[in-house]
Amino acid sequence: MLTEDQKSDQSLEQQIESLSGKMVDLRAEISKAIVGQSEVVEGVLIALLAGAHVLLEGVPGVGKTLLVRTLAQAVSLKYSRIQFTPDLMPADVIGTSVVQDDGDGKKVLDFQPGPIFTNLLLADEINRTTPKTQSALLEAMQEKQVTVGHTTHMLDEPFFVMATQNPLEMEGTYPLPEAQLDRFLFKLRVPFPGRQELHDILDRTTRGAGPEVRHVLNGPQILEMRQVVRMVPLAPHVQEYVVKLVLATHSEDRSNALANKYIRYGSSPRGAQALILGGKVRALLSGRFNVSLDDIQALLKPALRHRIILNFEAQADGRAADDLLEEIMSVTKKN
Amino acid sequence: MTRPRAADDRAWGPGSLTGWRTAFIGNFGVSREDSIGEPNFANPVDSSGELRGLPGLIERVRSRMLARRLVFDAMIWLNWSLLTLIVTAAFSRKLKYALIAAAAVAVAGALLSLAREWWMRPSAYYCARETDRASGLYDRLSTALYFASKQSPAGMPDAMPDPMPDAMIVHQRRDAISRVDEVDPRALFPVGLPEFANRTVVLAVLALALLGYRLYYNPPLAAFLSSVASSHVEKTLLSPLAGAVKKELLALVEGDETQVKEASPDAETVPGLADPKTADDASQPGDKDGASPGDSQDDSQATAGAEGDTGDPQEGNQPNAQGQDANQPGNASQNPQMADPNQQQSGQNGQNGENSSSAQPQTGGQQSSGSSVMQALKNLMKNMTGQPNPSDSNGQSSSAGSSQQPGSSSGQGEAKNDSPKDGNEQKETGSSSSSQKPGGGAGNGSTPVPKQAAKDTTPPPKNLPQDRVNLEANNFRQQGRVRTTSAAGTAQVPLRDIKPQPVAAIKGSEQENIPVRYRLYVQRYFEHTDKASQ
Repeated sequence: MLTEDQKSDQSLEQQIESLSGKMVDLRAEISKAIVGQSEVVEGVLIALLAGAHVLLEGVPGVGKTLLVRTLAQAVSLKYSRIQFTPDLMPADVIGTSVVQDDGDGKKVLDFQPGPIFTNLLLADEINRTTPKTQSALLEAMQEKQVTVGHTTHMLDEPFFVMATQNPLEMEGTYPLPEAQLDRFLFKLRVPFPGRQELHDILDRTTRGAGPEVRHVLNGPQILEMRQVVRMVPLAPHVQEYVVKLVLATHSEDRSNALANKYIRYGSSPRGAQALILGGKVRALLSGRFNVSLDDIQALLKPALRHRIILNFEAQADGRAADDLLEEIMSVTKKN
Repeated sequence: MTRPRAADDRAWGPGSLTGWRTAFIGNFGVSREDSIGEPNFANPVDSSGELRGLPGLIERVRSRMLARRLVFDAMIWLNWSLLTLIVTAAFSRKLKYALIAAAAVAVAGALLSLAREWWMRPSAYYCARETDRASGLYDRLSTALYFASKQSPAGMPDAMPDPMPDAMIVHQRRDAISRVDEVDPRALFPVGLPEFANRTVVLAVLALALLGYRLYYNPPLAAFLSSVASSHVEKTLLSPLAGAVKKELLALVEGDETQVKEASPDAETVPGLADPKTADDASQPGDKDGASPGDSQDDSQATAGAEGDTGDPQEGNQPNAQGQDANQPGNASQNPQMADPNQQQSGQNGQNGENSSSAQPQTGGQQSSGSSVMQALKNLMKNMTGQPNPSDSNGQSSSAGSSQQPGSSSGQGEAKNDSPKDGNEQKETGSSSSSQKPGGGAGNGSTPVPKQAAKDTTPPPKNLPQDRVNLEANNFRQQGRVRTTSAAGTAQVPLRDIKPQPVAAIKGSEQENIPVRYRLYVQRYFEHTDKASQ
């Protein structure tokens, strides 16, 4: 006879094995449509399993939108796309109440949900809309709910926002406010494909029909995986390392000359949460059951690059956030 | 505590200072690692059955790390012991004292090392982290060890529910234990000599050589110090120093002279002021034939070429010679150091032969040079302050002043013609007034002249000095050489105020301020050129 603990162990073990297998399948499906971009795909999957959102930044034509659409097809979730424009209003995103006839001749206000009521939301060119509309996403991304008038509407789980923005065309754009940026778990830079990747892209997209992506995951499975992810143990010295890294981005620490010189505001606690949660997912995806220091280092740039605000001196010296994070990582002791 | 590993020590070259420093200091001052969760792991690992071979592995790693540290510390203290042995054997007359001192250092170092390593012994958690890092296990062992001994993470209150279910921890532990066999502590933590062991060998060889030497001889350093003490310290240490000081003084004197002679050409730009040649002539009214080489000689010339042309009878410098003779009975006539200010003072004192004779025992010109340097420095300070002090002419040409002194003080030569009011000046201005006298023009035309001289309406003397001098007889060639021998980088500071003097104005009544002898000289100069052109 198996005890309760043994049963739970077996259940967890099955979950972990199922998780590993599903992740492998999901990567395979995504790779049917997306050539290369392994780091971006991994970051998107980590954010999906960590229950957070992703901001993709890249020049046009590198596959940002295709990645989101392929993921939506592979995970069998409701998918919506909002093309953010300067004249987009918050009601266009979250929905609005309209007057309708209830059949008895009475007029009632009926809430018509916007495109945000979905599982997988692609906010394309998010920096092209006004801050007012951008702020409409704040409550939805953090609390997974939308308040219209006096009514709060809960969003379906899993709710996963993937926003894109173009780093080149800055004219007529509205940079995301810090509060909005902080709600993205990762900011992933989508690089331009290499020579061989470009050949593969041409081969896949100019011959015959496009690839057919099958469903390998569903919503409940994703939620189950999210619970498993949070069970991954974290050694105290790894957590201490995360704390050191986050504190190193703050200029309040006088001993940190780099932050004092170039960083105006450091990372928020959400940055530390993103590092640990992402580290747990990455450990599971790597076949481990514990977070290591290498997981933290691998996720440092995607998790913190949009959470530190550089000062004028950094811009004048041409220092990017990634460079500073690299230096912070090199000077921060692991022990 | 961070300890040097074999990989970290690769960069130590045999001659690097870091290697020697580490050989004697080690990693003293390197902070210990953060003690996250350390207190729970300072004791031996709880070898529960679930961990299987992990505690044994950690104990082996810890023992090897301790051994590495002890070897490291032992080598450091061995270096100190050897150094103590070398130093004491080099100084101490009794060899046993050196051996005792070295042994004492060795014993003290051993005790201190043991105490230190016991106090700072690595915890099991630290050993697990080091093992993870060295073997690339991605913190598997440390995480398993931590959660094997502690259910909740460090710092988490007991009241909080433990978010880590046993199932995940068990999985993690199994994963870690499955990789224990992959870890080889011998390969990861080899116990061997540190990189600075070659320095220890060097010290040991030195110590052995010294001990062998001491078996037959006295302590070498003690003998050396005693021999040094018994030798002539002045010759070995002080004589070179004195020679260097002497050279510096001579160089200063030469520089002083050069600057004085370089400042005089500047006066050519000032209308009404004489050129260097004529200024020399003008400063030597006591020379009947205008050739008074000794009068215009300065100290360096006097010291360098002690030709004694001051009293050169061939040049007919009788007044000068007489003045010298009067002031310096005995060897004054042949003393080339008549430019000495001491002599100048003696000349001002009239026939004070005693004072002048007291200044005579200057051999080699050292005292004269020193005093000239002092005088030159004083003049330099005055000129830098820009004070149009009439005494500048006297001070700047201290040597010339002394040479002019006989003519003025003895009242011979030109002094008879100019002396009535110059004598008054001399009384008022003291020694500085001697330069304003006919014999005290200092040879530089830019010397500001007191206003009292403007009232000098004395008719021009009949025996005016010639406007040409015999350069060879005056040793001007040597002066030229001196002028060009200024040391590289030496600032050529003019000793005179080379700014156009107000007395040099052409128009206006201020021309009356020009001394008579200057005015006459200029007049004669232009007459001469007119004649030459005609």
